[in-house]
Amino acid sequence: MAREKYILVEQYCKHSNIEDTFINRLYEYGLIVFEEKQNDLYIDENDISEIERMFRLHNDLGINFEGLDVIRRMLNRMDKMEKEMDLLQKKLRLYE
Amino acid sequence: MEFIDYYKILGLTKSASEADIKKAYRKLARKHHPDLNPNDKSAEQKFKQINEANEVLSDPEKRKKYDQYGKDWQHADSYEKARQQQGSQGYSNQRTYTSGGQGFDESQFSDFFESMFGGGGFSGGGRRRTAQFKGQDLNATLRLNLTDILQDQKQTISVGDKKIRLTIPAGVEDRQTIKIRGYGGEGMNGGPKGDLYITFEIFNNTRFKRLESDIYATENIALYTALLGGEITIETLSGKVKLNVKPETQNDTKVKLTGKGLPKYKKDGQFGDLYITYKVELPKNLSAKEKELFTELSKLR
Repeated sequence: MAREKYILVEQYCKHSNIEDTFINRLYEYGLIVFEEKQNDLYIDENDISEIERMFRLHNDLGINFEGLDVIRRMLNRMDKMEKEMDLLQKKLRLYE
Repeated sequence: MEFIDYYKILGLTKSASEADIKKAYRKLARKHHPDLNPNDKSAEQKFKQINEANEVLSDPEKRKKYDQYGKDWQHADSYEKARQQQGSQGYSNQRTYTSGGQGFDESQFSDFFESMFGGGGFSGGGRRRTAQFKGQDLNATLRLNLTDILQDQKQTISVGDKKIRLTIPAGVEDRQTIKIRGYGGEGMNGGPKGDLYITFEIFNNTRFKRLESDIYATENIALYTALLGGEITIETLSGKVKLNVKPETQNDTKVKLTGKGLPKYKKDGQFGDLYITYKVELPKNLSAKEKELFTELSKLR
C-alpha cells in the first residue's frame, strides 16, 4: 500500500485543532516548508511530529516563533554534541 | 496509594496565593517540559507531576477539596477500602516496556488524583490540547548481547499489545536508535500512524573491547615466545586463530587482524578489524638454576 506523503494543510488543521494561522506562521518563519500542487498547500508527513512539538512549546510555554527557531537549533546542536560525547566515551573506554 | 503533596511539588506552602501557584507552575513547566528534555524519562515524570499539581491547585474547588482531604489523611484508608469494594479497575493503563514518545499523554494522572477527583483528565485550566492527528510515537529499548549482533537477526518483539517482526541489522551500535515508520500509535481522523523508535543496548558478553566495528583485546605471551618468536593460538569471535609471534617482539606490540572484527552496520560482507596487544609475561618464582642463567645472560649485555 502506497503511503500518503503529503497532507493538505486545510485537512490537517481541521483534524488536529491546530489553526491554519499557526501553520502559516511556521512557514513564514522558515520552520516548515509547503508543497504546492494545483493551488493547494500540502505539508510533508515527516514534518508532523515537528509541527506538533512546536505547537506544544508554543501553547504550553508561550514560546514565540523566534523562540521556536532558536530552540530547534539548540536541540539539534545538543543532539550532535550528545552523539559526539557518546563516541568519545566509547573511545575512552578502550583505555580503561 | 500514597498521598501526594502538591504544594511540595510546586515548591510552595499552603498559604500560596493564586499568583504564586501560577508563577511556580510556569517556571517548573519551562524547566521540565518533555520537548525540551528529549530522552529524559525523569523530566517527563516530573512534568506530569507538575501538571497534576497545577490541575488541582489552580482550580479553587479542587484545591479546597484537596486541602480538606490532606488534613484528614488518616481517613484515607477507609476511603480507599470503600473504593476497592466498589471494584475499581483503574490500573490498567500502566504500560510496560514502552512509554509514550514525543507525544505527551496528559490524561495519565496518578491513582491518588483519580481517587479524589475521578478520571476526568483536564477540565480546563487554560491549556488546550492538540487532538493529535499523527499517532503517538513510541519508544522501546531492546537489549542484546554483543554475540547476538554478528549476523542479521530476525526477532519478534512486543510493543504494548502489538507484536512486531523485525530484522536487527548485524553490527548495530550500543545506544543506537532506529526508527520504524508507522509502528507507533494509531492516527486520529485518518492521520498517519506514529513511529516506533527502538534503542539498542548492547551488552558486551565478550572479552573484547569495541569501538564501532573494530574490536580490541590483549593477549599474554610468555617471555620466551616474545624473545625467540613462536606460534600462539587466540580466540576470536569467529573461532580460534593461529598467530605467528615474531622474534624479539616488544611488550605492548599491537597486531591487526584484518576482517576479524564485527560486521559493519548495513554494509553487507564488510567487517571491522581485531587489534591484539601483546603483554609479555615475565616468569616468577625463579629457581636457583634460572637465576644463575639469567645472571649469566645479563653479563652478556
